Amino acid sequence: MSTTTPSGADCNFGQNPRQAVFATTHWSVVKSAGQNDTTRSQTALAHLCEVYWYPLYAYVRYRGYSPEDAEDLTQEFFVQLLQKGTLTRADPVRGRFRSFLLASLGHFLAHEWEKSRALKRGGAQKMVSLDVATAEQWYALELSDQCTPDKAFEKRWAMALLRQVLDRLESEYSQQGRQELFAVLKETIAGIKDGQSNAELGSRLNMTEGAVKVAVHRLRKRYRELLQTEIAGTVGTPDEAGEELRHLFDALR
Amino acid sequence: MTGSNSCPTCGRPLAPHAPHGLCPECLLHTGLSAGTQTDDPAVSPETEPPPVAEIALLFPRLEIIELLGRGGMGAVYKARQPNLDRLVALKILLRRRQNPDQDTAFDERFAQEARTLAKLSHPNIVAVYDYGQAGSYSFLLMEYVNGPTLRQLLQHGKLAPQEALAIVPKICEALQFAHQHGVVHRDIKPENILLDQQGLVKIADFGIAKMADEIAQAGLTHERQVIGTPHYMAPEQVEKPHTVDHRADIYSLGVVFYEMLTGELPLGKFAPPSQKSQADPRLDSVVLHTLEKEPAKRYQQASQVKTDVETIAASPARNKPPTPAAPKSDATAGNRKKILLLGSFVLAIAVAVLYLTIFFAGTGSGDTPISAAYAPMPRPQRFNIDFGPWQPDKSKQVGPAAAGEPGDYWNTVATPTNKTNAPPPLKFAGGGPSPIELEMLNLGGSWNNSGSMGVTSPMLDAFRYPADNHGGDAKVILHHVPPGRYQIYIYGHGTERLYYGDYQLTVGRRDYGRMTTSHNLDAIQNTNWVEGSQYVCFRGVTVAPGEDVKILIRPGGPATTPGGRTVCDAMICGLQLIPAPHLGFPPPQ
Repeated sequence: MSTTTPSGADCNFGQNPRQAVFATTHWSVVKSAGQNDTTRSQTALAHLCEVYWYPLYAYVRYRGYSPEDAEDLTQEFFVQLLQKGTLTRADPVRGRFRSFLLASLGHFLAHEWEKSRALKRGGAQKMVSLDVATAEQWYALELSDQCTPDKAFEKRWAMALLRQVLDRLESEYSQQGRQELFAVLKETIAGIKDGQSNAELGSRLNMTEGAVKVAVHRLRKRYRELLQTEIAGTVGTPDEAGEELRHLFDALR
Repeated sequence: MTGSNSCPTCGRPLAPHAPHGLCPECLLHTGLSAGTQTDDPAVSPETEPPPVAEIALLFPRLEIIELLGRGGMGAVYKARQPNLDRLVALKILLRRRQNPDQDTAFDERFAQEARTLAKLSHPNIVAVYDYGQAGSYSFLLMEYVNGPTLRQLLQHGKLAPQEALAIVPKICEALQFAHQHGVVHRDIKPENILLDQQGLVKIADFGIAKMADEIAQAGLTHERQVIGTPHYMAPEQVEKPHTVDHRADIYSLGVVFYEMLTGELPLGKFAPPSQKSQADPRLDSVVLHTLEKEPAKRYQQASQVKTDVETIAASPARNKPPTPAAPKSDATAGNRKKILLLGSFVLAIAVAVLYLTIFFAGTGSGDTPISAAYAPMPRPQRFNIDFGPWQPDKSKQVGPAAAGEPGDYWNTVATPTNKTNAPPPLKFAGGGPSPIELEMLNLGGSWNNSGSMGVTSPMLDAFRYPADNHGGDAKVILHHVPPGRYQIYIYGHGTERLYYGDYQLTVGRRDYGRMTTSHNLDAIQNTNWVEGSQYVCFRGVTVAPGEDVKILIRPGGPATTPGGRTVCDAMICGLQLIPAPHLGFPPPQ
């Protein structure tokens, strides 16, 4: 079970200490990592993998591999992805980054894994830090969630994406010294509770009712912007962003 | 809020690892509603519905019976009009604000809409009897439909193609009629499509979406909703909500049609229905034509959809397997009357099955004859689970043997001892669960077209049978498992663990309640499992055509071990079959 920190972050799993905000899209990160070996592009891609590794891990688990195999497989997949030229085949025209990752993983499981099975368990090269213990806790909690590995992946993808967006939002507020504001108001991002009183929120924040109303509006607005940006970064064309948002919404149901 | 286990906004259970402790669905909903919300924390579209007593005070001429449901736009109550001795549905719309100017403007528009709706007198449209204001609410008094929604039917997976073919033309008729009267529904979805006890299709909530929109525009509520339901909304409804015309309904109809045929929503680059189900491949073009992104490329009239669907239904299918409910001799070209009769019959069966689904567990027995519900179930979609001793109860035949099978199938299941605690029906993509499970423990199971088949339930006590009821072994038989290679898990959910015992898996043919093992290398797998394990997994299990899977669990361990006679003392335990064609190697030791 994850622990709750006073700031409201539900657990540190999946968060990245480097809260760098990428100006580029995920696709451009992938392309540059595929084409050259600069540390910057590798770092950027490694960050991307850290944000989105759990959906991939869960997919592997749903395909029936043990936790140990799944960890090795996920690591090995990242090795292939980051080092072995898989990315040069990535083509933004093909669509969504999510679909690309999943297709690559499916291909990897079908073809590459057999080749690399000679590796001893735990012997896979570590590319990103995977908190498998926590992942397994999550996975156990989700096991009754009957769906296909693909659906499981999409659901976890949506969760990882939202976590990333909220992390960034929190980071922005922290940088401005307004972490308390974020902690108190963040629940309004998910929805506005009936009967919720601005005055009550205001008393917690030592703000007037009107100021709370404005702060909530700004927080939700910024959240939407970051969500749009994050999603836009994972699709081939801006037109696909709306469709992807709807798709993720459906995936969670 | 963080740390609580349900979302305060939508009420859904909240996963412990939800991002920042917030409900992911609501977070995405906030994203979806971008640009249309003004973020007033003081007002929510989903206010609590007024209690029955409050409504009863406001409507002295009605007997308010119960709250039927609620949604973002209001709440619906079942009521009776004593003077006419009829049941009615009372829809309460959004709470009005206390601003006389706004209220007057709204009242006028509301009255205008209600008068338009009252003119929509059509057998497939829920009738509007009256409208007005009472207290601080606006209301509509409507025809009461005694029956399930299409959503409730779909909760058990896709419909048989014949059922979809019977329902869709009726929706088309209703839409065509409304469109001719200048009314666009704007929120066609399975929740708004009702099926009464005669199998009649009725569409509810015409024009309600528009009313809600106007309420929002008038500033009567601050939190303006996205009008429509994201999954079913036409693209132009999302992008340019004010340019929507009747063709948005045709798109939504296409989504519903697709869902009926496949059990899934047409998302992203979706496959045509015939690739995901037994649907007639000729229907693909109809469905895809309704789902064109550009309104101009879509069907321009609902009546055109109806004509095409009926033409296909009335001519012999090319790749459609025969089913008991659709004998080919009845499906001759041009024989529309028979087709319509057939449609009504299939629909009546669907409704009967649904009633069984919903009410059987709770009431012990229903008025609907079970045999009628069994007969038309297409066998290939059925997946039965038996518990208890394998003694055939020949009073309950499930189905005749198919060619090459050893004998008829019977319900071999012992009567459940505790029906009142039967768990609710399970939701799966794919075909509906067989009536056997409904009669038994409500254990559902069906195929997800693209992946795993699961059997689980938050209340599944199946594996407690040995200790609690019989003192013997737990036995589960899975019938009609499509041939293939699988891995099969028995697991305790969450922190629950399985106990010590023998877990035996047999694959073979079933003959009047006995399992005979086949010459299958994977036929018997035994696992001795240690107490405290998360799950038992049989990997690389091959199921040949016609074979069933039997799982025998023999609890072991000393009687003094807490739960030693119980396989899994978990409130949540389950069984999961996952297609695993890649598992060509033995599991690692």
